Amino acid sequence: MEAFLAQLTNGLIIGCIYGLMALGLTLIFGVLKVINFAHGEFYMLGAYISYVVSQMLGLHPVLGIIIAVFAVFIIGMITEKALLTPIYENKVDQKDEYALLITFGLSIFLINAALVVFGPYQMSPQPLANGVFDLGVLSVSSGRLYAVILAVILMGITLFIINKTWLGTALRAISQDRDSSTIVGIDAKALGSIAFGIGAAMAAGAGALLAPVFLVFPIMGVVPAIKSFVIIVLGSMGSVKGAIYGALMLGVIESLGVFFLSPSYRDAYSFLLLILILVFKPKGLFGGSQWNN
Amino acid sequence: MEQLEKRILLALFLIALILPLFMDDYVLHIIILSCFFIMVASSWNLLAGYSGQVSFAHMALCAIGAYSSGLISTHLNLHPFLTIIIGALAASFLGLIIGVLTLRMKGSYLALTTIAFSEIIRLVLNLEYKVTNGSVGLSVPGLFGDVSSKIPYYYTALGLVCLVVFSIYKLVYSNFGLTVRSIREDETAAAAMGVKVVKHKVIVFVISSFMAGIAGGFLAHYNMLVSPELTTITQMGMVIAMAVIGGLGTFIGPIIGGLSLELISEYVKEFGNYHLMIYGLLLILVLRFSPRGIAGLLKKKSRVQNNPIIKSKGLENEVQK
Repeated sequence: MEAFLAQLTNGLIIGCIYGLMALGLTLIFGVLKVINFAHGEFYMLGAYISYVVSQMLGLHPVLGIIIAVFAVFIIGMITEKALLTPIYENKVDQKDEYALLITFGLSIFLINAALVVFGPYQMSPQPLANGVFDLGVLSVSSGRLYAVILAVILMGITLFIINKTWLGTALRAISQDRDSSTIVGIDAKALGSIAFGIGAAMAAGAGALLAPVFLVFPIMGVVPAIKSFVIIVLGSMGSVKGAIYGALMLGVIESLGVFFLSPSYRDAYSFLLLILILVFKPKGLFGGSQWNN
Repeated sequence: MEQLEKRILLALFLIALILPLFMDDYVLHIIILSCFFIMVASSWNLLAGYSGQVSFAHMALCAIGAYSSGLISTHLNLHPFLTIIIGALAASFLGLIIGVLTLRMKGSYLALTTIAFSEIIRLVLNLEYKVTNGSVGLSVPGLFGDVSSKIPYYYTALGLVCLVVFSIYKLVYSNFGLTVRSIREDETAAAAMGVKVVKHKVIVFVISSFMAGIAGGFLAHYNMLVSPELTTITQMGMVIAMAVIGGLGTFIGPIIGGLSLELISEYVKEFGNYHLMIYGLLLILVLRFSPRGIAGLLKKKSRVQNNPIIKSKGLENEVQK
C-alpha cells in the first residue's frame, strides 16, 4: 500500500509538471491553431539554460529557473515572428502542413545544435533542495516537492493571466475568432507572438523544474513533448481545463501502470491511452469547452 | 513531368548503371545507402507531398519491415527475398491500423499519433531484448548469403529504387493520383465532388508503408544488422529534410534530396555531427522561403529558359533598369 501511495504521489508530481508543459502547448494551439512540434525542444532549452546558470555561473537554482523561463519566452516570440507569420499572411497553401513541418524542422535543428554545443552527455544539475520531506505515511524528496510547488505557482500565474487580465481576454477573443477580434481592435499578430512566447516559456519552466529529476541531454525533450501531445488530445485540443485534468490523469495512469504492470514501459502507457481516446472519444474528454473555465 | 527532370533522371540512371566499373566499394556502399534513403523519402513524399498527410512514423514502419523480415528469416530460415515482402506486408498492416484510427480526424491528429507511435516502437525494440537484441541490434542473414562483393547489392538497390520510384510516378499521374491530390488541395471540395476521402487517404498510407517496409527490409539484409537507431526522431528528421529540401510534392525532389544529402553527410561525417544541425536549418529555410525546394528552383529556371515571353520580360526589366 505504501509503495502504491508513493508511486501515486510520484505520478501526480510528474503529472503536475507535464501539465505545465501541456498548458503551454494548449495555449499555443488555442490562439494560433498550430501544434508546436518543437515544444519538447523548448523544454530542453529551459533545462540547459537553468543548468548553465546554476552550475556554470554558480547562481541559485531558482534564479536559473526564472532566467530560463524569461529567455525562452523571448526565444519563443522571435521564433513565432520568424517562422509562423506566413500562415496569417496567407502566403502558404497548406497551413497545417507548413506549421507541422516547420516546427518539426526547428526541433531537429535545436536537438542537433544542443548536441554540437553541449555534447551527448547527460548532465545533472543541482536539485532545488536536498533531503526528504516526511508526510507521515509516505515521504517525498523535497527537491521534487519544491519543483511541484513552483510548477503550480507558474500554472496559477498563467491561469490568472488568461482569466483575469486584459491580455487574457484578448487571447481568448483571438482563440474564438481571429478575424472578428482584429475588427474590434485587437492586435492579433503581436498577441500571437506573445502567446507563443508564453507557451514556450511554460515548456522551459517544466524543463528547468524536471532537469534535476531526469538529467539534461539533447533529446530529453522528445518523450515529455509526446506526453503533452497525449495530454492535450486527452483533454481536448485548446482546452485549458482539459490540459490540467488530462495531465493529472496521465500521471495517475502512468503510476498505476508502473505499479501493476511493468516499470520499464512507463512511457508506453500514455500512448495506449492516446489510442483508446482516438478510438472511443476522438474529441477528448472535455470536447468543445474551449477556454471556458 | 518536365523535360529537364526527365533528362536529369535519365542521366542519373545511366551514371548509376556504369558506376561500379570505376568506383570502389566505399562509394558503392554510400550509393546503396542513398538508394535506401531515396526509397524512404520518395514514399514519405507520396504521403506528405501528394496527399498532404504528415506522418512521423515512416521510419518506425521501415523498422517494422526490417525487424519482421530479419526475425522471420533467422527463425524460419526463409530466403530474405521472400521475407522482405512479408516484412513490407507487416508494415503496411500496421499502416492500415494507424490510418483507420487517425485519418477520420482532420488536422494534426495523424502527426500527433504517429510521433507517439514511432516512440513506442523505439521503446519496444529497445526493451524486448530477448527478441530484438535491444539497442545492440539484431544480426540477420545477408540478402546474397555470404557474398562480400557490393555489386549484387548495388544492382538490387538500384532495381528497387527504380521500381519504387516508377510505381510512385504511375500512381501519382493516374486517376487515383489526381483524386489524392485533389484531397490535399481541398478536402471539403473533394468530398463534395464525391471522393471517398478517408478511403483514399488510408490506401495511400498503406501503399507508402509498404514501400517503407521494403526499404527497411532491404537495408536490414544489406547491413546484416537492424538496430532501433532507425526509429529515432533524428533519422525521421533526416528523411523529412531530404524530401523537403529536394522539393515537397514534386516527383524529382526526394530523389535529388535523398542522393545529395546522403552523399554530403557521408563525406562530412569526419568533421563531427554538424550536418544534421545544418539540415535542420536548411529544412526551416527551404520551407520558409522556397517551399518547393531544389525541384522548384529547377522548374523556375527551365521555365525561364524555355519560355520566350518570360525571357523577353526579363530582358525588358533589365533594359528598364
